[in-house]
Amino acid sequence: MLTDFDAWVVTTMNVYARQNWLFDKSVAFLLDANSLKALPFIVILTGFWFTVADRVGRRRTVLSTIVGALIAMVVTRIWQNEGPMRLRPREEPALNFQVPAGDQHELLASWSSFPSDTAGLTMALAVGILLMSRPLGALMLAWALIGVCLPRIYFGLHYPTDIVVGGLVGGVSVLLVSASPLPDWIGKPAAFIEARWPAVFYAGFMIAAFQISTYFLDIRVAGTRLLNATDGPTAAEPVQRAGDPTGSPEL
Amino acid sequence: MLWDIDKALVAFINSYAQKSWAFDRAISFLINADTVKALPFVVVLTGYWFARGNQTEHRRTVLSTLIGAFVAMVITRAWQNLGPARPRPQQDPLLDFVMPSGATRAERLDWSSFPSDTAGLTMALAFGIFLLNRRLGVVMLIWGFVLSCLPRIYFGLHYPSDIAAGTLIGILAVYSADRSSLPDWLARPVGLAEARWPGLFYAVALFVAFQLSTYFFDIRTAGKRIANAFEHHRSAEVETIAVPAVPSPDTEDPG
Repeated sequence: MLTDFDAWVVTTMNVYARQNWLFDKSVAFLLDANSLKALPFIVILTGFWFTVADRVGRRRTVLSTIVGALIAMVVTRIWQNEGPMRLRPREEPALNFQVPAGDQHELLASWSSFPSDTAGLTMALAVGILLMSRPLGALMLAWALIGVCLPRIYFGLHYPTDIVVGGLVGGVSVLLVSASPLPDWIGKPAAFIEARWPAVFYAGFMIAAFQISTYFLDIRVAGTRLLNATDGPTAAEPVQRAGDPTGSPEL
Repeated sequence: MLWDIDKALVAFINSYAQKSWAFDRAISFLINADTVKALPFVVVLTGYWFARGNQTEHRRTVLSTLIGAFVAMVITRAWQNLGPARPRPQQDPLLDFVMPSGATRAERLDWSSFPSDTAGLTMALAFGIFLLNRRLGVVMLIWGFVLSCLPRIYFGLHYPSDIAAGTLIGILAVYSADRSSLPDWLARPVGLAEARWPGLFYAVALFVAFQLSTYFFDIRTAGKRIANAFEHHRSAEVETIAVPAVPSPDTEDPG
């Protein structure tokens, strides 16, 4: 299922692949480093959680954002698994895609390309930030597109339409949740726990922040391994440490 | 004599390798899963930071822990780089190390095996928790040892003495920091920043907490890649890509 637009964008960008080793490696780093994907958004949302001005309003929006982001992750992932299978650009024989230097994402190719769950998550978080601050939100939207999504197209992991649809799912989820009473239902008990047992609340906060920032990687790996436990050594699973420095050919 | 003990212990632990595929895979999961090997310590310290009652005391100890952890990281890493090089068990020609199931020997492991900076950081954080609460501290020290340190011995990334040395450095660093007046000096500006600009303060705090929970993986990777970039441009050789079919847990940046 290859649209003309998608093919055109991907092949145009692919012209630059392997032209400059340094450039490819830098983009590969953006691809792999957790600190640069969801973490910046989570860091900013944490900041907003603790601001004094308009605390109640801001905390409500942060909750909406997190809930919306989680919904977007689930929706895009289910859509990827259950929807029509779309090969990733790098796997699509019609495109003759040349993978840029420095990438090691072999196992992700087993899931459908459409829609992009990375785009879903990052756009959801970016939209949430936009609701609280225009300039910061604009900056994070730009980062989501240029720093997170574009590298994925460059490395042939997604088509532009995967990104667009994924992003829409993310943005719409957050807006819908924000407009619904859901954040208030969650907000009440959350505020109670935070006031009563702040240690437990913020311990949980830290766990949640870490898991979202790592796309729940450890949990997904554990889940896959447990499900495949009977399959033996041949089972494919998510790469636990993509872009590992040691033992990788680039070193 | 130390070498004999090290060798005997490694040989003993290694005798279990390749006996059970499931067990080996479980340990390989632990090698890489930050959620299990680093995050719990950071989570507990976060909890204590926000705990009601005794907040000043608690926060001081958390600061001591962070200072000590940082010092331990610097010392262990500097020692690894600058001290006498020690090959890791899996690479040591004097040992006949059997790699556990599903893992491949790393092509090239940087840094010396001694001392373990993972042990340094993990046990520093665990000891800090011990200072906050004896019982919880003992649990975390055992947790750190069993889930963070032992798997590294199992995969031939470290000798027991590397772990022991790292642990000692970590504990001493936190203990010294706590006894010193450094945390008190730090508490003032930290308290001020937290009260004045809480949004910014906790945004930065989360960033630091995340880095601690990943043993600064991204920062270390970036450093390596930048260092490599210079080397690569000097030698100007054609790069070959050989993607490993199965992710080998022991190829994580050893520490």
